[in-house]
Amino acid sequence: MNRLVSCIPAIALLSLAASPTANAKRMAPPPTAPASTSVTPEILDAVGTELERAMSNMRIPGAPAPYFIGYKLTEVDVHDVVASLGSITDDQNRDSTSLEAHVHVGSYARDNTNFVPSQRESLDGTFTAQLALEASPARARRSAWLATDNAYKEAIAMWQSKNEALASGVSAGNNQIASYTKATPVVTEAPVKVPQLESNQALGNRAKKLSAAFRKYDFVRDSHVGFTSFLENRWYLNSEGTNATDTRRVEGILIVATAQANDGQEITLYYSHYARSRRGLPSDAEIEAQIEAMSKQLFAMRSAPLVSNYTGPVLFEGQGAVGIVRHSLAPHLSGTPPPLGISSTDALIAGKLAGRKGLRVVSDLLSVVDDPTTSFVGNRFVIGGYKFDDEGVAPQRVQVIKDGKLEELLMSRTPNSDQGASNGHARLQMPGGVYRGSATNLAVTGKKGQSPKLLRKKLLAEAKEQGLPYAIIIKQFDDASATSNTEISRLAKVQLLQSMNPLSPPPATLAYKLYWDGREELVRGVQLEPVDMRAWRDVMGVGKRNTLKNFLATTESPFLKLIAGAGPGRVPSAGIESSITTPNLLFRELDLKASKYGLRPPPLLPAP
Amino acid sequence: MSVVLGETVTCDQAPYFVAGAWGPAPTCPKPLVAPPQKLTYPLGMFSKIGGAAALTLLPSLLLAGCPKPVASPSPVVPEKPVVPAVPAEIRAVLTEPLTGHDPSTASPLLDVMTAENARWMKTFRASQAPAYYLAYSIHDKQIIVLGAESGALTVDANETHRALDVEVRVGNPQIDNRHPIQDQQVARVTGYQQLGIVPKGQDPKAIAHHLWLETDKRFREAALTTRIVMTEGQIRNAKDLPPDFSHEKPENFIQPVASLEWNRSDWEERMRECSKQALKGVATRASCRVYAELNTIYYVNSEGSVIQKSWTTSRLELNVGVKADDGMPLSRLEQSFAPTVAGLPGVEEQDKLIERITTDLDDLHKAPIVTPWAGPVILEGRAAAVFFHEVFGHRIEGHRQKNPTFGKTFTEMVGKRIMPEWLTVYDDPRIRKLNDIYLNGFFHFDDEGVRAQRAPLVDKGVLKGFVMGRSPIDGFPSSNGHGRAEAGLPAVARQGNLVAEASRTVEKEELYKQLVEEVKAQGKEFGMVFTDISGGFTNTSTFSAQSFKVQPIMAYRVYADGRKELVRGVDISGLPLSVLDSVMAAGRPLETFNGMCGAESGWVPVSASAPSLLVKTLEVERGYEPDGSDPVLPPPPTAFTSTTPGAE
Repeated sequence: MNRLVSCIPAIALLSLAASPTANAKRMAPPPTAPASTSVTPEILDAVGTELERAMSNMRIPGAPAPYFIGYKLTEVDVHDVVASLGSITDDQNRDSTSLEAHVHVGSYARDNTNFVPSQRESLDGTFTAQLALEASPARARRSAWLATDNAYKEAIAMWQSKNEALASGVSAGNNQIASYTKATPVVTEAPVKVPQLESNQALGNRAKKLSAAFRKYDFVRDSHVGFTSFLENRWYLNSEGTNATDTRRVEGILIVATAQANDGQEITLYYSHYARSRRGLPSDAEIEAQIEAMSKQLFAMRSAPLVSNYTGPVLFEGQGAVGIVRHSLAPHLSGTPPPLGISSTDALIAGKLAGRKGLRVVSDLLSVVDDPTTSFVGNRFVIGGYKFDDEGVAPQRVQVIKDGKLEELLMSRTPNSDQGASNGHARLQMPGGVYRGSATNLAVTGKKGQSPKLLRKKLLAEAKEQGLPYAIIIKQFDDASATSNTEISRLAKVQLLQSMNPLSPPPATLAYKLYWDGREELVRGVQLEPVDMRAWRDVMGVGKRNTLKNFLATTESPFLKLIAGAGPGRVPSAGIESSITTPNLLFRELDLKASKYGLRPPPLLPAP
Repeated sequence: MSVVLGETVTCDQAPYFVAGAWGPAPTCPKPLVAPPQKLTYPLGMFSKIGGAAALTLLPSLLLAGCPKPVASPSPVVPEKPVVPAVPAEIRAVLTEPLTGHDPSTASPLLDVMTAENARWMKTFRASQAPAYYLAYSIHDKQIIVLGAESGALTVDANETHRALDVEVRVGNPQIDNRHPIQDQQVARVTGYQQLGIVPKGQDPKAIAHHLWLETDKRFREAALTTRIVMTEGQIRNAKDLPPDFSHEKPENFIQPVASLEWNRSDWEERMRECSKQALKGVATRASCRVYAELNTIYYVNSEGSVIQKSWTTSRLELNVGVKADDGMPLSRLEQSFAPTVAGLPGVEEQDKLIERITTDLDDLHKAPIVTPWAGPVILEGRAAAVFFHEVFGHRIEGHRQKNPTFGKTFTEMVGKRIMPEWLTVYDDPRIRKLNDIYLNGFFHFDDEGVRAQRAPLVDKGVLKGFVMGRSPIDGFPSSNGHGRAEAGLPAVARQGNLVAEASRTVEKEELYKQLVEEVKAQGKEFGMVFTDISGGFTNTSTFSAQSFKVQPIMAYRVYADGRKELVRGVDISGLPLSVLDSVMAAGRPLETFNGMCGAESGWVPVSASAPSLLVKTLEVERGYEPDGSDPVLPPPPTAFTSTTPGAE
């Protein structure tokens, strides 16, 4: 094993991480995107008029009237281009405008929401209508009329079903919690200025040029470079008086390369970088260096041995630390209770920290803050921020955990027994017509931070204490939304579906054994068993320096994403804008198993 | 999501390539109208010629568990009226498959594909699990959709896609990975649409590399599937079964790449005006769309075939809808197909179509709902054509004669009479135009590299054969050029241009007269006439009755005194053999239905042509009625909606 080679990607990643912002600061601001022509003030007035009419007059005799109606208008413009070996494989330019109606019946104390009716899981009291490309106030109002009507009828059906369920006692102590909280109305009509989109032509030229860099690596099987440039303009109107606008804007690059190990196992590496504008992305030269580093890493992985089953200390470095936070801590920070009626499997998506306020939930070395109000962590731009969340609520910085103790969970307007009001973290729509409080710009900080060298020393000491000949370091996890379209055949995916534990973190794509003598050995097939919250209380060391990662959180289960694939174009633009900042993290004891997933005979024929 | 009679599933704004009849569908926003409840499809196939309307039929059948009982055919052969020996006129323009062959226009892609194919075949021959056949097809598609609703543009897309399909056959022609699999999970998964990624342009290295990648992946799955086939019990009798694959002679056909004629400015305002104009009468929803497509397929296989075929197609689609007072959604869809947009109806003809569908909708809105009934009916021209496609056409698709899960209605009936002696039926994809109408099912070569040929099906009432792909059956060892598929799906035998010729026909008035006589003879209050059928489906799975269902849009009761009364909410159901046996007479002229047909190998363009038919007995039942009610509030005041409350 060549240690020098194995170190290159991490170095390259760090250098890429620092440079774009530094460049951006020296340049003039990029040109801003033009104002929307699809959703104008006149259209918003028309939709607002329809909202008032529905609130005043929409009644079905014998059924409850709406007490809350909310509209979210979303204008999406997405430019995606993917290239492989210097040629375009996918090129899409999509734009659309939709109106999403949310209707609540009953009262804030008890309404139709956060409930999944049996056998009618699609009912959620919401309805989305596509608006005409040629917008006019009359047409938009008509769309609002029909969408509200559909959402209202769904809400009534949910209400009746929910009351029957509550009457039969299935809520078991949960029915004292209010259904929905009031939020202070916000009015802001000033559009949020964002950099204009890159053209498909420009994205395509870069993708072609950069993807051609893989042509010289014969051992690389599949490779592609994708660019995305998208914006999402949003307008929120509701019956409480909110009338606000906000914009999401992201520029991103995704690189994926696969190879086959000497024993036949498929191996995949990826690199992604998301920013607010073209200038926030690495330069072509930096990306080419990244491709070279990835290729060398991939080459080394071909001859790396399969890991053995292991129980012991694990050190997460760099993006590995980001990954363990993303997959095993962030999902538990939501305070939104799971919907009544949801299946026990689906209920696992809910956080495990509800009702533990004031208790120690992680190591006292750690504190966690989630802050959608910021655009920067240090001098680095983070993409998880916004002016208003998906429910039109202004966000707050939330100290989730302080010195290991839980202080406050991330809330939407659906309360739990400990927390009422929203803190503006509604981002992920759930079954049952509610938004889930979710992480945005999540920052983990540590006390007694140690240098990488000292942390590794501590790792080895713990391994020795546990009688292990080596310890494990993980530097990157797979991201199914980036890499799911690999060469795995459909039948193999079915086998995967039957054998995988959906609660496990994704497989590690970069992992090492660290021996007592300091020797680092690249290994393959590292699959962590599910990481319980309990393990976070045993974090025994943190790094001194932080790693920041912007990413698009998939709105679907990564497990399903892996099965279904990322889509024929491998478009890298789907997901919720998010960031995680974290130091390296040392866990006292985790279980991992050797995964032979993707193991197959070597190819009959070499590449042409 | 609305499903249209095309290769697109639309999400209101932009077209997507359909994910395949049984494959994963693209994610769409929630529809304005709740779609039928999601279904688990039974084994076998339900073909659909038609679209949303046809799909709405499915729940009523499947959720009920099984079709309602139908009248048993009379054991006594009915006395049929003597029909004069006047044939329905047929003027067919045939284009032979090699017409337009021009080797000088061959794409360099073909050389890359041929070389990589040869490289793999050489390796396969030396491997332990040999693949004996390898075919590549690269599909280039440009699709333009421009649509408006109620006067405003709603769809404006111009997309170009390239997809790769690779067929690898592991084993031998007698038994290979395409052998029917009993493990239903494996059968289902291997039946899903699978599109490979291949770069655009003509860079040999990039393209050859992706051909190699996809071949490796498909070969692995094919080898695994073959192992499953071999371990399943049916291989014990494999030698007694027809082979899984037929040998066909290599073909070489190079057609110059077509160009797409499209002038956006000609259509933009026209679509706006069209949709505004169609919003009249009771219609609360009106849309107009124009589609223009350019398709080019580059195909090579390991038998030496090299084919480059390229064509354009276009479609004009007008659709109006409203809810009846009892909440039943009503709609009228009219589609016109032509090779180019220039061949689509002009504004004047479009106005007539709008007038027709809006008048029909107004009439349907007032019409009473049908009650279950059985008796004599007339299927007028286009309705008869769809009827033939569903009731007969799908059952004479060759591969359905060998799969153990298919009903094999006609498998043992070759040489026997199955319909009146004055009916002759064939399928001929070479027919470009029939009676001056371009036929949708025209092609030069099928999707298995076999040239289009006439498939004689019924001669003077006697079953003669089947439409065949490369899956042989007893007595029919070769393809007749009907192996068809949407890109990414395994090809099976499918119809192209189905033509039912009648050697004895009467004028329309005479056919109506015969209907009234039959009504009286059967002691019925009325007979029925169907002038337009939106689509339907037929079940060929052994796990259900071998029934069909078609959904007439325009259905009339015809009383003994000659009075006509439009009714709505109609389904026709029945069993194919008994229905074909009870065809009594045919009327002039022969009419053509152009459309898209969906089955296990995806959506393919088809046509069906038939004379009007008088049928002694058909069963009519109430169709699926989606749960719906009028909006709680009246429409908001606008400048463009009609005055009628009620919405889509």
